[in-house]
Amino acid sequence: MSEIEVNQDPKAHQLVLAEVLDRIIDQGVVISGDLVISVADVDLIYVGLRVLISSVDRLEKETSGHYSISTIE
Amino acid sequence: MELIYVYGICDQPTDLISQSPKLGKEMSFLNLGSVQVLIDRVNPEIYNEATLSIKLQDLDWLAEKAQIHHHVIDSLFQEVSILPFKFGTIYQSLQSLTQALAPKVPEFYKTLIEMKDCQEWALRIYQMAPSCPETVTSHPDWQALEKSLMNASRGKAFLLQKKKANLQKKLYQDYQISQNDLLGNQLRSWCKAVIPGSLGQAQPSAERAACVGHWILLVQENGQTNIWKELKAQEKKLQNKGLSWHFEVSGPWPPYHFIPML
Repeated sequence: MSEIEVNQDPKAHQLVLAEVLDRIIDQGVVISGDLVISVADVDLIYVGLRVLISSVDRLEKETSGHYSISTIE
Repeated sequence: MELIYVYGICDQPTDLISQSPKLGKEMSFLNLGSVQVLIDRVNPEIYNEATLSIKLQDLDWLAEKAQIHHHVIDSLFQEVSILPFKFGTIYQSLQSLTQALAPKVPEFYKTLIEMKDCQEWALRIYQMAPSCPETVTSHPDWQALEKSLMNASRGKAFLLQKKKANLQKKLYQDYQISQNDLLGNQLRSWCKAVIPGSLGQAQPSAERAACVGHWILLVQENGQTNIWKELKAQEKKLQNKGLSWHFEVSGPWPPYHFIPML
């Protein structure tokens, strides 16, 4: 079983928050200036709310086995 | 008086909600025959329409409540089939809720069956570096400009170089759009359903690469590995064609984008 690294970077939290808001707010999310997050250097993060954000390369490796679910809530 | 907040509709009740954080004070399932509506009783002083619209502007408040809303739905999503409702779906009473939702129960049930074992994933495409693929350099307009440049005076060459830069940008954008459309067609053949997502902040910044494509995928849980393999192969293929694209996926999400009747 591979353990997915938990990323506690606040920007990773913001990324997931933006994704959550994008889905649950009726009018769609407006990402404000202070919610700009880095994605270019985020290869694989696994943060609260059971959400995995990954390059497809890493994702294929991770989901071909069983990954454990970690949260940082 | 309390207001009735709705998280979503499930195919069966579960006691998972007893361990979950909640927005109100008492979560429960309302039986509407073949479906169960997950409801909460919330404070009308906060969740009335006027106050809620003000509260939605407070990002800290919204972040906390949105995460609770999603947490409730996602916890259930791991155990049962669920149709997630949008944040802030609130009814005046159990009676008004029943009147609104009861006529749609057959449609809810049908969708619940269709969504069984399905997950939502997001695919975002980032352009990591500017490039000039062959499709740009082999374009007749590009080649005509190159030819003109060879015989141009210094002043004219300066103008032609500017024209060339603009042409490169346009041809590259056109190429990206056409390749993104082709990718969308491929995704439709691999996934149960696919819809285009919003690009959000498409312009690159110091911290963020440009997002040039965004697709929302509905995939069967047991078919994911093949889709990731196809995507990985496609990413490589497009990179070999001169597009500096990086694919990033996020999920699994409950099927937020695939509930048409809400």
